[in-house]
Amino acid sequence: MRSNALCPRAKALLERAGVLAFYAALWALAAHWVDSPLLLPTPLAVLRRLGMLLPSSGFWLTLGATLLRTLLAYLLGIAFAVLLAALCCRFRAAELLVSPLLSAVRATPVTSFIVLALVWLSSARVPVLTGFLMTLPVVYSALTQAVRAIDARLLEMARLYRFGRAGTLRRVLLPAVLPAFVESCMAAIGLCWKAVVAAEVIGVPRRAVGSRLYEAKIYLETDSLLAWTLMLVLLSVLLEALLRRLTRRFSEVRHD
Amino acid sequence: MIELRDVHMAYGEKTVFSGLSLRFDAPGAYALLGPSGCGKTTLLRLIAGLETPQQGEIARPERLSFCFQEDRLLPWYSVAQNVALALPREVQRDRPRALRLAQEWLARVGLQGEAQAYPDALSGGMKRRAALARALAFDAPALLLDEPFRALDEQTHAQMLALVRERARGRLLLLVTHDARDAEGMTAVTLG
Repeated sequence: MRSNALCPRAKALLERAGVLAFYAALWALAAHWVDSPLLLPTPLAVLRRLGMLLPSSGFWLTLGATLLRTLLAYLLGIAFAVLLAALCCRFRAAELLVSPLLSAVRATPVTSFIVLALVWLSSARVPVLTGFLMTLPVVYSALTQAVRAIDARLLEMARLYRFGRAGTLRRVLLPAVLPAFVESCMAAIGLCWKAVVAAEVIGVPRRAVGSRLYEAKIYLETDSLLAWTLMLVLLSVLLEALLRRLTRRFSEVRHD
Repeated sequence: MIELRDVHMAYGEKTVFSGLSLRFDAPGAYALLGPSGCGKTTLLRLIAGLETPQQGEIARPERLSFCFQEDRLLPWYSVAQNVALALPREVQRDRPRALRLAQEWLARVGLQGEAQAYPDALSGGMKRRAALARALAFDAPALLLDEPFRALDEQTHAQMLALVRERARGRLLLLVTHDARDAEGMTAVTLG
């Protein structure tokens, strides 16, 4: 029987729009109460500023440069994490050397890395290094833990049924590790994105969203600061959604 | 033919076998009987090369089919795919043929309706039969079955036993069981 009830997708969209409207209203109320655009501009003022930024090519070039740095840091981080995890799972000596180092990287505040890296590298490269250092340990530890959690009994079965090395890798190891790997990549993209922008704010490279945030703070352009932040949030959400769509097949345990 | 010569096997302080010598001639059917913990599974694992004895020698065929005490089905593959993975490599290359053959094996163990299901959707008895189908589908001169009828009702148990006997014809069968009725017509080897 057909009913007039909304389909679950439309219902979920409506719910999200409701939540968004609620917080926008809360923000507008707070801005009205503060009554100082310098401290807290209204959502409308921020949207107006965003409307002014959007048509300029500089805006998109700046956004593109930050996005490019993030993607570079992210992909390098993942590649090195896979390489190190493979080495460490195979050779105990490698694990003894690498694990404490990566634990130290995880425990060190991101700003310490940024300040230190600024001594060694140009301000345009520091965000890439920072994003890389945020991605690497997250993916590495998820991978090593997933490899260690593989059921040894399945490996015994693979050996007896003559799967061979390639077959065991394809049919047992990869399917067992992929969900954890994909989840860690999802978690790392947000971290990487934030670390890159933080490094840009401190290092102030030539074309970077972080540099625009820094300038907005210096010149007390709070509406600009919030407009850029809004753009960053939107892009981060879009990036995560895109990644989730791309990796959906691998995050499921089942394969056909 | 499988032969164990003067095998010594211990887990830490606990000695399981000391100077064990056994010979299983092919073709032939052997039922390994004995109380729990007497070393039936260890014996199968030694024969399969999954355990290394501290002392002694074991002669075994190059290929062995093994039905583990646990089901050990890959949770990310359907039941049919799990069985297909045990088929010869040249058959696996032809995916539709491999799946068809796997379905035939599943039909023989009464799981024709479950071929597309994933292991976590099956009951304990169904998983047991899927694991048995995989072991029987694997073409090897020796069949090592470790309590393959556990969790099966009387009728299914009898059907699976008949299927095992049929598949073991012309091969060497080593069957670990607690049910003496399974040993009928087989050479009983009592451990412990």
